[in-house]
Amino acid sequence: MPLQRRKFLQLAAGGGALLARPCVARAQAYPSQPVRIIAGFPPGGPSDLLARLMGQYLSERLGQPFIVENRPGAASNLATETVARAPADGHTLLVAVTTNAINATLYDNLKFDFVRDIAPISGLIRFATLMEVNPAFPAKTLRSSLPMPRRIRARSTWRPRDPDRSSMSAASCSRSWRASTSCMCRIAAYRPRSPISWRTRACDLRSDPFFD
Amino acid sequence: MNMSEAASCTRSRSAPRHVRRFFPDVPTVGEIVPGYEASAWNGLAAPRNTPAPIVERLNREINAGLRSQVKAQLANLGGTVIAGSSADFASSSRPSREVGKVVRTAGIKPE
Repeated sequence: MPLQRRKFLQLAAGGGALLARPCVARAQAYPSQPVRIIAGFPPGGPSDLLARLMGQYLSERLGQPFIVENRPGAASNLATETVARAPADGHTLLVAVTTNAINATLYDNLKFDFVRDIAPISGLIRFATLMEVNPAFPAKTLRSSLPMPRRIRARSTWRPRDPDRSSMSAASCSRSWRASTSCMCRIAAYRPRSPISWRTRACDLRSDPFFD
Repeated sequence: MNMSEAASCTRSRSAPRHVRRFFPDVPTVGEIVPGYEASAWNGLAAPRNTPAPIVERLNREINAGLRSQVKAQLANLGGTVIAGSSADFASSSRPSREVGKVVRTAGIKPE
């Protein structure tokens, strides 16, 4: 009997210690199952690739698969909402992108608050946005193209390659452009993301600058 | 997109100066349109209330990866690695939240 009572007391003490430090216990057990990394865009783009590269690394380091799950749509809001509603146990992560921060101030009707409902873990990479034209485009520099939209306004369109991400960069660039030149540019989203690059080089879109 | 492909296009960069190394002979838009700076960032995040020890563990592992084998792989994607704490990530992503206000104020409607 004394032995049993001592064992009980030991177990009780152990349980108490666990209860007192639940976060530590959870972190030590983490990850206890496969981890989903939700990406708000289709496979193949740079953000998807980097999520897969980091997912592979984390799988090797932490002993559970880190699987990228693509949930494109609604300018990455679908994916973000999925993560905002997921259990907060570290087994559902989000590839957070510039669009998330922009959307936080752009949309009134979101069912989540990116700043409130999503916790940052770590930055990964920063990409440049490039403005590109076909070599047949009359201007060879941005400065020499500044007066151009006025002349070719009827057929010049700013085409963000990735409407979910680059369109707002194009929008803000277009605004700066308008402020400097008094020229209005029309912005047209263009899907899917890769063909625009090919078509621009293939002279199909020779009058249109686009963002990559 | 690799460098030889890039060379086939006339380009103007709309990117911060710290990525100048990728296209050293191409000026930034900010040099032509003063005050302009825009870039795209990526990171990992979790639902709020994810236990701090889990966030810290993931941050530690991710940063170790960004310092070692993953660094070169990510560099091949044409970007600049942004390692750091979760607080660093939160603060570096903050300016992008201004873009929505800019778009609204200017009345720009992407089609």
